[in-house]
Amino acid sequence: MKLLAFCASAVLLLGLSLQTIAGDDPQHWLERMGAAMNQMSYQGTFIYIAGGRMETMRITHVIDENGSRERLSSVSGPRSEVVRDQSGMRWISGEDEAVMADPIVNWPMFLDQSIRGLSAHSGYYQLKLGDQKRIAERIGQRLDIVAIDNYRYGYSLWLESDSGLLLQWQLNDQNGEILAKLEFTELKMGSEVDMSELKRGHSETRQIASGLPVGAAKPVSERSNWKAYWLPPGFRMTANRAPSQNTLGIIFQHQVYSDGIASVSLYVEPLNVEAGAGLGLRELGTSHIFSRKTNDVLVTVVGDVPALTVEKIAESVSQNQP
Amino acid sequence: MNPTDMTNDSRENLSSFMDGEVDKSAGSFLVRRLANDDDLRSTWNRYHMIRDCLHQQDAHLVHDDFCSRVRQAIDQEDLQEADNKSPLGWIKPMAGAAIAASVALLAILSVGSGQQAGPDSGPQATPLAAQAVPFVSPNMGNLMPDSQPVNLAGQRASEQEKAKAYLLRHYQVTGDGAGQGFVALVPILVTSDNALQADNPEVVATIQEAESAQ
Repeated sequence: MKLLAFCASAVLLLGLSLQTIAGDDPQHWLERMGAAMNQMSYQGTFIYIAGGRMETMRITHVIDENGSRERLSSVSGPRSEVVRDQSGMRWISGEDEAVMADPIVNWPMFLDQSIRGLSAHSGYYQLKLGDQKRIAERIGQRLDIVAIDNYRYGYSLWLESDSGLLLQWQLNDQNGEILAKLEFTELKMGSEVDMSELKRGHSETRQIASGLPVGAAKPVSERSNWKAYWLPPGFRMTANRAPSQNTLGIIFQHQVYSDGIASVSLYVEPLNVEAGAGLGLRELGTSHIFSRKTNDVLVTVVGDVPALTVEKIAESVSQNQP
Repeated sequence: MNPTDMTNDSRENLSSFMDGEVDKSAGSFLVRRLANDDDLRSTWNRYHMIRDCLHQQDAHLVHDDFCSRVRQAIDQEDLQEADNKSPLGWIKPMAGAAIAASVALLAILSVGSGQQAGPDSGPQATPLAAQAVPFVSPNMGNLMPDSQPVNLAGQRASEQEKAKAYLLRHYQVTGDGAGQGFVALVPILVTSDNALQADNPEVVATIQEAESAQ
């Protein structure tokens, strides 16, 4: 009996101690969120507001012996969903069952380390804890990630006090103005998750070629053919794929740059690539896309960063000198 | 209501709204009106199409002939001001090129609606009016990025798909979106037609709550 009481006390103390650590350290909350979002099974309904529009969506994220699987879908209106599993990602849209599939990207990052949280310590963001509030019948701890310049967005996050799961998310510009907001209205965790929702929406589909390359590629060093010569402070290359051919025979190069929180992708492809990607600046939700022509290639920079950032990066891209 | 019935106040409010110069309550009211008024919505969309022409934003998405007529209207704007008989006098002055742009914008709007079809307008005008695109992107003040463009219905599906392919691959490589999980994927779905326009009181209330939370 004494042993049982001792164990119970030890567990209680350990729990209190962990909670204290998390409670005091914003960085720890950030890490808890990352772990929870990736290592827990959860399912819920949330609203997303951006640009004066609101959409209700549902997410099912499952971790089990079959690995990680995820299904994000719209609740009303025309069918639209993104499914992610061990075979890659599929975007299914519309009643005509159009789908865009992207088999799993299987190439190692030449910078083989996680840089998540790096910027939180390096001064490009300021982390601070705020008040708690009740969201989806759970207690959410506010965590603000404030960007120090105009090249990246800031975030306000409300994390479930016990697990660290994301309950509410806001994208803020440098002035703290809200650009987009996501908030759960209902959330289940662990064994409460209805696994059958993962299977919904899978049916015969008409595939649209994405134009992007598939399959594995060898990692390459930073000395690739093309690179961005201007990056916001704190950004560095985190992934680089050697120019390779996709199934359509298109030579393609893809690099990723990140500051540990924000990230952008750089795509370099021939100008004769199929599909009119358009030139200049475009928006997709809160993401910006900037394309330009240079030396017979199409340079495109994509990311959930301000328009200024993708544009400046794209303008700096050029071919390495031999 | 059609554009010919639209009051000058409505147009002026719409112009101010587009420029982000109305207060939040007036903005919310206009959003609700836009969601329920097809003609006001068409006007709103034409305003943006013309602005896109003038600013060269997504110009490839806008009919070249339409942009040409915008430029012609700008050229004619001086003459309209000289005789001081412009029926567009209600529009409030704006600085620099924006003055010409707005006047031209309304000139084209009028032509498009058949209200002031001049000798050079004619049959081309009506199809342009018919090209009015669905309402997508009301100016919601603080909630809207400064660079928010208006989605055009004529936007090529292949461009959307390619843009989403870029984003899909980006997300796949960056993994969990810096710990925020699926959130990075949400924009792929949001740009579909699923989203509610901000005419629902619940939407307006939610948006206002978000604004007041700052």
